[in-house]
Amino acid sequence: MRHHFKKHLLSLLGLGVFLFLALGSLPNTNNNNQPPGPARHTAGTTTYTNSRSDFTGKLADNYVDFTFDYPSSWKRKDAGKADSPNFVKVENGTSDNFTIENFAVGYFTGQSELMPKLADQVSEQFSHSFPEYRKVSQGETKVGPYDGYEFRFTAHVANSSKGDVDIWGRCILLPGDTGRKGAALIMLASSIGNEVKGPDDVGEKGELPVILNSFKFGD
Amino acid sequence: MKLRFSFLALHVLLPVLAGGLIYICWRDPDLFMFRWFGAVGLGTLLNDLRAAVAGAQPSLPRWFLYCLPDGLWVYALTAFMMRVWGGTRSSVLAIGWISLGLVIGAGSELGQLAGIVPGAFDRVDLFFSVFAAGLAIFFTSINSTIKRSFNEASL
Repeated sequence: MRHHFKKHLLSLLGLGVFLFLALGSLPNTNNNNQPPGPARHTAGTTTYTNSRSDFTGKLADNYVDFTFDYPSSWKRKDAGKADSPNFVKVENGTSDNFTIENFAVGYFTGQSELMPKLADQVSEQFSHSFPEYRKVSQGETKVGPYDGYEFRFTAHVANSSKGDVDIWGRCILLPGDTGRKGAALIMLASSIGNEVKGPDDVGEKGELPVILNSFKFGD
Repeated sequence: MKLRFSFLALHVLLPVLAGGLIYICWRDPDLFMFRWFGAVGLGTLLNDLRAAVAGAQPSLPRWFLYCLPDGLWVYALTAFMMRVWGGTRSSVLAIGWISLGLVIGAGSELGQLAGIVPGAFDRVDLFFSVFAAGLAIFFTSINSTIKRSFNEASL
């Protein structure tokens, strides 16, 4: 035993290094991957509940029940009308209508096996809507108890009335389940705000986590 | 017992780096490692790297992204322990240290199956852990056998 002392010591050191590496691959506890438990109403928030009777056309065809809470200071924007792919959109903006953060829920149908391909297609659509669009990451994710697939992106608006503005986005595709359609959660944040500093912060910092953590499909 | 650099580089560092690179390039950025990288000023560099390789992700199989890194971790840990404990007479402690990678890798999967470890059981993950540990033991045994033969031949 005694002559193996060095081996035990080396093994312990090695194990420590390997456990440290494994720790690095664990989800950050400050993020929204932690199951939030049942959606609950937070002080200073308003609850949005999706309602079938509000929609026609594609939104009615692909209707899904869901609820989420959003800060009461945010505004509901036009969505769910005409050709909009979104059931709802809420936004925190400046007085001159620049987006600081926003959150939209759109319809989405697709099997979980096809998520990477579908994410590519959605990303391709986004690339036509944002200047200097660049997808920076994609992969599996979770929103509370729901498995999803996400991609994050950056865009850049030059020479706006606010100067150069960086836009960071995150789109989470939640596949449908037995008897329930899926949904696409689209989050945007801009460099006009103070808390979100890059694509990795979208839905992690600022006020979007309040919304994301409260998102829940209806029964 | 000497930990030769060539052995460490091939059987320990290389698998760990390869697995780490998969995480850095294509895995969810909500991981502790990305906080650490950001803290040491590597955030922008890694964002650029992720942006450059993001296009390859859809064509990469699931096992490559989610199972291989775990398998490489088990391989590296088992190879390291084999190197440290190789050549010593069999003992419960030596076997215990050598099988630690397998115990942690496969054990966590089986724990998920039993519902005592958080997460979803994945049989492919389990296969990769067992296969990686076996491969590490095989390669490191071959390595030491070849060296022993050379040594005996040169006597």
